[in-house]
Amino acid sequence: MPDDATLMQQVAQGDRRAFLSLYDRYAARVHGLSMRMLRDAMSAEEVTQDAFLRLWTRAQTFNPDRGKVLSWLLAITRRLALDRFRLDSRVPPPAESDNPGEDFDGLADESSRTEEARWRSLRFALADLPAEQRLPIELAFYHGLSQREIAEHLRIPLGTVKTRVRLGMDKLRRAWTTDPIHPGRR
Amino acid sequence: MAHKEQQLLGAYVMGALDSDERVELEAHLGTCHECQAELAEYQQVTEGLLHLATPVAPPSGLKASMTARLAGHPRSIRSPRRTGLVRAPQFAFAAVAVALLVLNGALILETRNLAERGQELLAQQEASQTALALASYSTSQTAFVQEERIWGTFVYEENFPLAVFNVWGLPPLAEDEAYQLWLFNPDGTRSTGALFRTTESQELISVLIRSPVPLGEVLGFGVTVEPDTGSQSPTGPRIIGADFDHSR
Repeated sequence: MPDDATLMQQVAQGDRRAFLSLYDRYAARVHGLSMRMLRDAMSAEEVTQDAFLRLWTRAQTFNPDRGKVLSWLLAITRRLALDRFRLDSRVPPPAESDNPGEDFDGLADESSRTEEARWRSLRFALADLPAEQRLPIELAFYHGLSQREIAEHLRIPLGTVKTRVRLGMDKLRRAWTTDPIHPGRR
Repeated sequence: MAHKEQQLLGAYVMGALDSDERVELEAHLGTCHECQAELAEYQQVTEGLLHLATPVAPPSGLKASMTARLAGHPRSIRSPRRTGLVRAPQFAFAAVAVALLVLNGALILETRNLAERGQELLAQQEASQTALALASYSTSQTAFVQEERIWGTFVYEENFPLAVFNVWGLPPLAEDEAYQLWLFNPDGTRSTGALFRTTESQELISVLIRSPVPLGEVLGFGVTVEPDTGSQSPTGPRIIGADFDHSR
């Protein structure tokens, strides 16, 4: 089974079979992020389709030295979902943080590769954040709100939002840059 | 050494800053290696956040309808665009105000005949206003580049064929020379994005870049020194450049 970078090169040459292999490999990941952000099946389906179509039309711009195909594809998905928020009347963003255990369950049986281990570590770090820090980060990242919009939405001062985002993101950054193995967790 | 811009990096990397904070931070990032390094760590966090969503299988019909749409998307044709890019006008006042500030900062000591500089001033103003208009879109991208004493920010929105290159530290050229900015197309060809000069030591120069295709389809850019009438392809030394990462 060819690796992702090889498939991308083939897609760049117009190889539809390679494209459909990538679709089979990653459609659920892309659609999961679309659903997480848009919370509406029809919008999420359109964004999922658009993300893969963008992979098709921009395959030549992908540089394997800069990162993984899946990360590139998910970043495109997020951008498209954020554009979607600005066009359509938005489904109101949540006023409470989702339980990270429910929403971020997909990595439970992933392989033990270093990157996957780090993402697990990030998932724990996100779950460990106080809800008051986690919610603004989720609103910013998954719903595209600015800090000002978050303050209006939650009806708290802008300065409070800025502090909570700063503290929460700093904790996530430190969790990411330290050893990903947590001996106390299984 | 902690400084106030570092406090904005976490929000910046998620696109959650207001446009004026964002513009200020990006100007700072052009020169601060410490913040660039910390930004890179935050970018890894946001990359990780992308991967945390639970996978959800799309409906089985999606693959078939997408395959049918592939037929309407031959290589290198842009997909249908739905974004209405109409927000620039509300920033007109702010754009003019800051453009004047930039112009004053760069040219305040100049005593040359205004008529001679008229064209350059207009070009700078147009570039500055475009940069501010682009900055008002949170989907705009900024690529930071630096080589030795020259550094710059390339500001673009991937659905636009216009961009702005802000560059500090370009050495002045001889009268018969110009800087030519090249855009690298997916098919391996190069287009001219801009031809510009700086004949005295301006700190900052803002250049309006015109691309034949939306910037999202461009692989990268480079600046070379050419004759002042421009060249068909790069002939002179490469001064600065970068490849784009359109996923961010």
